[in-house]
Amino acid sequence: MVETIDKGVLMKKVIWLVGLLFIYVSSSFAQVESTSAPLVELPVGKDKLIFSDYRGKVILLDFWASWCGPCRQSFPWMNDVQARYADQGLVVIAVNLDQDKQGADEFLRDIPATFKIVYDPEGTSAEQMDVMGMPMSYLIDRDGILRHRLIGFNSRKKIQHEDHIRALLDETVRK
Amino acid sequence: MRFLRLAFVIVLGSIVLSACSELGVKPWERDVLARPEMQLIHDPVEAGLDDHIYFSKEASSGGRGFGGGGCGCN
Amino acid sequence: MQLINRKKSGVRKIKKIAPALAAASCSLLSVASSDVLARGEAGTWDFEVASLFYSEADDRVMAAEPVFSASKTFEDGEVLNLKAVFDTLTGASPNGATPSAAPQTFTKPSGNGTYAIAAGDAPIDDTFQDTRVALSASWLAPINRDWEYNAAFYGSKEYDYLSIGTSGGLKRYLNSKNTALNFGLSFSFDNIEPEGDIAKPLVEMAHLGTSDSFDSTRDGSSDSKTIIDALFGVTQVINRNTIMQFNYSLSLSDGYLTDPFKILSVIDETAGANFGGNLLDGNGNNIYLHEARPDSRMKHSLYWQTKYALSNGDVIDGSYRFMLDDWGINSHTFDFRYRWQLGSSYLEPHLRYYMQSEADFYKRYITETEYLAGNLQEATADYRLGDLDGMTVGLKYGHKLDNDTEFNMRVEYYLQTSAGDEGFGLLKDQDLYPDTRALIFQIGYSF
Repeated sequence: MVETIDKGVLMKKVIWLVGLLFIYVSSSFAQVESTSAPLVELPVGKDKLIFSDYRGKVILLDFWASWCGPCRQSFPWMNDVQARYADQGLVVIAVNLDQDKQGADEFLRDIPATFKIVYDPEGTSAEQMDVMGMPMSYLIDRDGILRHRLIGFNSRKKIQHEDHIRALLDETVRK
Repeated sequence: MRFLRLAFVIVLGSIVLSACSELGVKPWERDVLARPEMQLIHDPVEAGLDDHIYFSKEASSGGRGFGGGGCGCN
Repeated sequence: MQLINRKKSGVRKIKKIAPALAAASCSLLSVASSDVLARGEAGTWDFEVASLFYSEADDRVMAAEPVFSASKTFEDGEVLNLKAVFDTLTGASPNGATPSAAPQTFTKPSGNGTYAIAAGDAPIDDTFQDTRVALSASWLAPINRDWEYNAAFYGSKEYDYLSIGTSGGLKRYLNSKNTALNFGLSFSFDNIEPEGDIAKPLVEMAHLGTSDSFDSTRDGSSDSKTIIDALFGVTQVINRNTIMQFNYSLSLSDGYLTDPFKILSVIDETAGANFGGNLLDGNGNNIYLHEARPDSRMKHSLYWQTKYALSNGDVIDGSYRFMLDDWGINSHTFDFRYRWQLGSSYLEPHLRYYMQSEADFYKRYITETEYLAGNLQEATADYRLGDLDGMTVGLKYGHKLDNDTEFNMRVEYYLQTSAGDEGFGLLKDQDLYPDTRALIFQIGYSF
């Protein structure tokens, strides 16, 4: 079957193979860049989100689905920041991307949200915003300019995200 | 060596496949794949018990994750 | 489940949900599961208790194997799994000798007494009784969005066997997590210390109560082996309903790979009344030799698996494995499951087909000529290294009591058939390749 092989040679080849893979694999990390023009509108399901409606506010735009694990952690946090920073001008809007609204309803029964939820079963909004993971949220400043993106959610990201929110709330409208 | 060459072809093939493929879904289209029963090893306890049985009765083992080492198969 | 062939694997349980759990779950080296997934209830413990009952027909091996598994998912997606497996087995196992037209007497591997096998019966050693405890701990954690690592430790102990191991792995996501590359390495060390010591390779089994010296057939009280495994795998999401995995793994074993409890019969080739019977020694006793296997083994495996979800919620799971080693064995394994969703319950029929070719040094028996030439280096009559087919048919039933709790049970029937050289003379009348039939029952509860 297999010809007899020198094991040393074989191990060397295997190590080489693994090395090659690592080189290949350690490429690629998508950097997020900010756009400088204000966002205008976003089609969400049958509706549209008009950003100018929130002029002067800092928007936390979150994309989520009922089957997404970390979303169960991000919801309580969004309730929390909404409560703490609403006075200073924070608006939280969560776009649900479930194909079937029933999943979202169950999720919200489990973890009620105190912020605005909109539904986009087609995912057109996610497509347009280039959602790269679940959950993913975007911070939009008082001028309607997209400033930060956050892919995923955990305790470290939470802190980082909250710093961004505070920084944006401290800014004033330029226009 | 024949086998190793085959492994190379597979590895390179899969790199090409992964690099330029149109396969896959958008992040928000993972509802079905997120279901527990769609995990490749959906019942690890059962899989482990099965591995134990077949390791004990057949000449092959592992392949799925790790056979032999690590799990103390002897 | 002979001692020499115990396996413990890094089993653990997902429960209802835990996505990360699922990912963590796969085995120590944990390379298998993709975590395209989902709901991990962070900060909570998930438990699973299961027990396997394994029973072979004809009073052969019986085993009971309870498993306790606990997993905790942490806030940042790390998963800790702790698992304990206990198993007790009793019963008889083929010792490798051929059945004979005359009664046979064998010395127990421990040297403490003998056991007799009636004429025409399969020679089985019923002195097996063992209890094993296996403990394992594994840890899986994301490094960043693209990388994930895992590490595991494992140890098991039974009366005459100790196994310890460690493993580590890396997972790299690509293409918006539609592709995952898995790398794993594992190392394990096993030590066997059989009662009655290690048998010398290919020496004659000592007959107790004769001039034979049992001690002279022994060679040290213990021996060991090391196993190194390396794995490379690709997991690819094909579409919304389909996920596929491809693995290549390499396994190198070095050291004592022989089964100290197995022997081979030497068969008389001299024309006459005993042609095809057991060759006799000077005392008129049958000659049996202790088996000997090579001291290293290199295995390659290719594994492919696909899961497909139907629109009605049912799931099809198919896999194929090809294994090739430098002992001359190759094998094909086909596995198919259909999960039929019935509200909060499911039924899952399972079919598995396995076929393997024999090892180069497999011999159902040793001929007088081979014995007298005295130049055999390796030989085994262990049917598990022979030409073998296995078929499993099973059915599993599961019921979700609520989101967190599931009860399940399964029943499976496993049939092994062997084939090979049918012998000559008297041997032709014996059944050299009896089937092995086993019933498997498992019950599990996760909460």
